[in-house]
Amino acid sequence: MYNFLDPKLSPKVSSSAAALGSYEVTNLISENFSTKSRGFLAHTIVKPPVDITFELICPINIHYMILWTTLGTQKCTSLEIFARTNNKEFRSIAIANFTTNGIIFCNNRIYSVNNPPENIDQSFHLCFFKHTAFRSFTTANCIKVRILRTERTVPCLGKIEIWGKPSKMCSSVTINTIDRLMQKPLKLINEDTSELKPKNVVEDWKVPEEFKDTLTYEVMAIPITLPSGNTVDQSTLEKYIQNEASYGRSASDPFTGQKFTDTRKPVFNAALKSRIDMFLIKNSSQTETFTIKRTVGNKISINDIESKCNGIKRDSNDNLNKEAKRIKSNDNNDSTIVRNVKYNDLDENLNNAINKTINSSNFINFTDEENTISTSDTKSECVKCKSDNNLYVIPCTHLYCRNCLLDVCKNLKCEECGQEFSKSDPKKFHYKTN
Amino acid sequence: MAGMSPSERRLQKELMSLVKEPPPGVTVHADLVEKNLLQWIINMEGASGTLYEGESFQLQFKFSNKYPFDSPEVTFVGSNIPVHPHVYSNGHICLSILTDDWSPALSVQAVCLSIVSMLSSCKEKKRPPDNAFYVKTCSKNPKKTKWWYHDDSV
Repeated sequence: MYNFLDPKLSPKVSSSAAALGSYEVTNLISENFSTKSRGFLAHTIVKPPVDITFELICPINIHYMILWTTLGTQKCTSLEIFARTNNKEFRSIAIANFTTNGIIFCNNRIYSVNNPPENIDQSFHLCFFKHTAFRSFTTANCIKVRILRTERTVPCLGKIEIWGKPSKMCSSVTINTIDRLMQKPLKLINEDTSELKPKNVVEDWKVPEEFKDTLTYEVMAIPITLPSGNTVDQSTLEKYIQNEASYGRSASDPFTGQKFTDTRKPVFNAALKSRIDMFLIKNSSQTETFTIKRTVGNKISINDIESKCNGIKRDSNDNLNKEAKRIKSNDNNDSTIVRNVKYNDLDENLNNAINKTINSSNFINFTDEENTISTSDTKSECVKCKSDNNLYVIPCTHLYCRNCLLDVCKNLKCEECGQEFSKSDPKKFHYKTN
Repeated sequence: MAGMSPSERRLQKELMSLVKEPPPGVTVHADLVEKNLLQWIINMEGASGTLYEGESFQLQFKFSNKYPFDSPEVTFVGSNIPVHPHVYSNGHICLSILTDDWSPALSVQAVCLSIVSMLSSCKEKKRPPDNAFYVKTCSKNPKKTKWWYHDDSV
């Protein structure tokens, strides 16, 4: 007696309903143990009835069928079995409602309640084939399992076995072939052990601590060594710098808080990067390495960080504040900003924008000492009478004392450069303290 | 380890090191934390030789998924909230490293040490001067308060 759904007898299976990914109906007859144990699960939108059709190698006399009808929390509670002889129509050979985790359909000519098949799960529901359908189940070459009802879950089938003997109408050649097929050595065992081996190794396998980011404990893609001696990933440093910028602070070492300078700045650790890459290549069979970030050999990404760190360091706090606002207004796409915007361009744009703002007439500056109003270069005196008392400044940055300004205001035109201004433009000029 | 978010991976690591070598007087409810890595309860004992000797406090840490780039939300909870000029009676703590001065290089362990040292350096047990007003008006989350750090001595 053989299980005719053994993969060695090359059965075929098909289903009337779409399956959930990786729970295909072919799992039921798979050679691979782990695939087989996944079973069949219909897609969540599928409702009973669902038909699963098995085509067998030859017509068989079914002795009994075992069906594991639960899969995780999914459970079927009503099944109907059909059988077909040659190309005739399917005939129902059994139907059953049950609440157990599985069901066994038996041939009533061989078994009875007191004489059930050997080596079966006693908790499974026992059901017998219909008397009237004996022609079908003694010479069945195609069997259909119809899931009629489920316990408010998705139709499923954990596992199925169909035990029987080749039917009497089979020739001796067929029976011999089946015997030979079944006596083939079991490849399965070898496969199973080879599958188990790496699993045992995984437990001991570990990524060296030095390959991990000191702050996030993830394997680094682009290791950057900080002035403090700690090594972090580029993405970590970028995130940190961005976060600091949102407080209006310039780039610094997250461990010491020291600002980066020309001599003290983060550097790309090429030696460590090559060791990480070597390690990942050697251990590429480990499933844990699949999720680790990789670089794709794009040179720009490495240069980017250095130019970026330099850029931020070069900028005054003022730039950072602006940058912080920009980043905030950019709707928190944090990582993409860094990747997509070329930092050199950004620097240039920022500087231009800031200069424009500073030079415009309605810019009021409360904090900055240098490089704001260009009058700091010239002497602070009236361009007309050279007095340094009670000075006013007009948009073209020329200074006038109060008396001269009253004169100039008659024409609303600077007497030095001829630029026009309005009556509201002149502003009180304040001396620098230093 | 594979299915963890970056913040959880880091917290797992911190939990392991805190269980292995805790700072003096600090213990963590490891089994409670393992259920939810984003919320920790830490027991803290007042250091000997200070005003809080013999007392024990409970600290609650809440982490966002931006941790360690975002600071944790740290408050005193439970029946005993230390009477300290920087600790409000609702458990909120006025400590700059918990908001503005947070750095990802800091850890739960570092925050615990800071709080122990803050308590230890206290000379007089009293509530902050604006306690009554603050407790009535503040948000539940201490990180939403705009703190004004005026005392650098602790």
